[in-house]
Amino acid sequence: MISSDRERDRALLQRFEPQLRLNRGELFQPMDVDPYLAETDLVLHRRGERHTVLQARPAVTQESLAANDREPHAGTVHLRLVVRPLKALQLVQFHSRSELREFTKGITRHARVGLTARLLDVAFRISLVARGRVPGGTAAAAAVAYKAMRESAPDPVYYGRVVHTRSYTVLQYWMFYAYNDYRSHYHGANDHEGDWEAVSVFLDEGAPGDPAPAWVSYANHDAGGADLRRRWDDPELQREGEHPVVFAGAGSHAAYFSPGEYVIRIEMPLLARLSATIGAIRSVWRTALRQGGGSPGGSSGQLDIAFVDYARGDGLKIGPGGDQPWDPRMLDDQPALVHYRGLWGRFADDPIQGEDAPAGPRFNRDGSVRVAWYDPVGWVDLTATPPPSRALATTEAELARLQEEGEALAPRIAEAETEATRLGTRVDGLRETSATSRHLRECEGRLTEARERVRRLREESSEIELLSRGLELRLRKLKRGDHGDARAHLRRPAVPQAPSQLRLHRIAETWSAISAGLLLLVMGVVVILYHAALLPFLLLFGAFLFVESLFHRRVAALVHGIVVTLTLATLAILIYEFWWQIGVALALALGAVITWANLRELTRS
Amino acid sequence: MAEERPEIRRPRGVVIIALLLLGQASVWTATGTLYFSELPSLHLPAMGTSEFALALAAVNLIVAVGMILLKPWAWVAAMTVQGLSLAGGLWSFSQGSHDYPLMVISVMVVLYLNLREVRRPFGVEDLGIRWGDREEEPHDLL
Repeated sequence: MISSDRERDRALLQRFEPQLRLNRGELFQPMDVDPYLAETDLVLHRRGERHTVLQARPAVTQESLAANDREPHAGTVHLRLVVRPLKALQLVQFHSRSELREFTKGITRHARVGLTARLLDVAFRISLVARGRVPGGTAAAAAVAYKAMRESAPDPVYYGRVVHTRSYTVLQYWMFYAYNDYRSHYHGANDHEGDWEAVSVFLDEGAPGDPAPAWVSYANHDAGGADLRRRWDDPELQREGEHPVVFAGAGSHAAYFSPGEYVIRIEMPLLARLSATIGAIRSVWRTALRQGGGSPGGSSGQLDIAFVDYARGDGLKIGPGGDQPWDPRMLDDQPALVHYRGLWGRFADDPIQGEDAPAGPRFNRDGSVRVAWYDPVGWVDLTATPPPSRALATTEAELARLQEEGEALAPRIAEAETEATRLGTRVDGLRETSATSRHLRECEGRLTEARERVRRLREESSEIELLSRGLELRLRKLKRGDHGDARAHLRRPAVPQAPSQLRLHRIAETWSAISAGLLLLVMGVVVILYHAALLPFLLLFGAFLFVESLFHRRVAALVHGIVVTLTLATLAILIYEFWWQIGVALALALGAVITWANLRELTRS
Repeated sequence: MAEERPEIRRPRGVVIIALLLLGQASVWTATGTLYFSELPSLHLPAMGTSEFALALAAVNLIVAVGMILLKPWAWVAAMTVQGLSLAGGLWSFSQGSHDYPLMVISVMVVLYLNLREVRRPFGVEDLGIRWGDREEEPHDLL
């Protein structure tokens, strides 16, 4: 790349760099990777063997990582920041002085979800013992180490990358955090060393004058697709001048467009099939049987675990108009970011990878290249959406193409019609003569094919006509400067909880926190006392649900749920007991209906 | 100008259910004492069974009127009554005695009352929304 292009890219990156809003009391900020690397060891992990230190601190640098990566290693290569996690007493000391004290959680995540999610949460926590996990005290030790690193490099850093595609110029802002302390400090899903997050701005360079921002996308956990992006004129997108405002999740660093608290749901892989079956039954219940209320998108019945992502944006503001400026770096100048395929922190050997550190901006954990790297436009499902400056021309070109196709179809239709008529005449003629039945059948077969060809061509012509009409309407809108609904592409965008949902009585919150554990304890007692009899279990579960519904003022929903459950149980018994009578009754009913309908038709005619 | 309320049509089945409830109420009123004294499985106290039957008859009457007037509480109450009936039927089944006609009727009434087009006129399309606080998102109990 020639130097003037490079300077232009750098200027573009700075012109649209985001303002990042953290939460009050957060421990980690986007940082320079060099001081981090100096505090890490490069480690090789082979299953069943002890870790091998390939390079000890402080010798690890970007250059050494990039060079090391060229050597083949069987196993997982990763960095390791924390060698000795803090012990109990050190942890007490850490928490008594930590900025974390400024963070308030609001109502607990247990109070925001149902009893099943809470019970599954118990299973999830137990699974952490069996799964690989980052040891306790690591997050605090990482925070202590990070504080020391910040003394040498205090300014937050982003690594900018500019990707020129045929449709958009993509400005990528990659941010590195020393640690993801979501589980340890915010009761989230996972912890891991090293965390990469990305914000992208999609520029329309076809517009006259300056490049114009058209879309913005924020990375959010492991999600991809259209829900990650917002159009520049979307009211949800907050801006400081030309700088999009990003609300980062506490500890997780997932990025959001609006401030607030988000309930994120994680499905356990083992329960995915069961969850799909429940979903299918619910779908039949709602659609085929027309049962239930008016919110088919409700989430109850899904077997997933809920966590809260706090993205309040009430803490440090980094970037233009904020408390601290960015220290921008060009990503292409960072050899480790471009070439190092290993993980940027501890490898916990977690089967679901939540506790494993991520790889760098370019790579996935398995060493393959990230879609966000090689196809940033496709990653957010923008491939088929032209930039605004080209929307008009693209639509006009497509309309012209369609009109050409339509015009080309006309003679083909005429030709096919002539052929069909000719064959029809021939068949009529053959019927008048004493032609062999074989010859007649052959001609009739060709006639059927000719008729079908005419039908298909006319159908195609009709579709072209409809599509042309749609494109003409769109063209008219585009000419008026109307690019349609800014949120039409969104399917399930992340939505923060409403303030009214974040108010709950302290007793209700306490109940939510203890209910799942208490239920398991009492069930244990029931097993001892009643030897696993069904009725005491059902009564116990019902009692827990009743208390739950009282706290959430949803007794009616509980009653409805119980009645529907009883109905399904009764229905199952009735079908089991009377399956052949039901079959006969259905056949009789069907016969009666058909006879009645046919008789009515007969009498009316 | 006053805003016009869309006309709400009362489903025919709701009238039939209300009539059933009224019929049940009249039966209980007439034969309550005898009816309850012959149900040993309920273990009701010997005293006050007729009062209990009258109370049930009164509840049925109120629910029936509420159903005719398309009141949301009447829908919940009717579902509750059917739930009790189903629970009783299942309990009897587990004890070896079968009351299949009652079970069939209850299942049919619940499935009918739970139809979207029946719930709509009662204003109970979404029980996730708390009454009187319709802007809130549903909260999962389970």
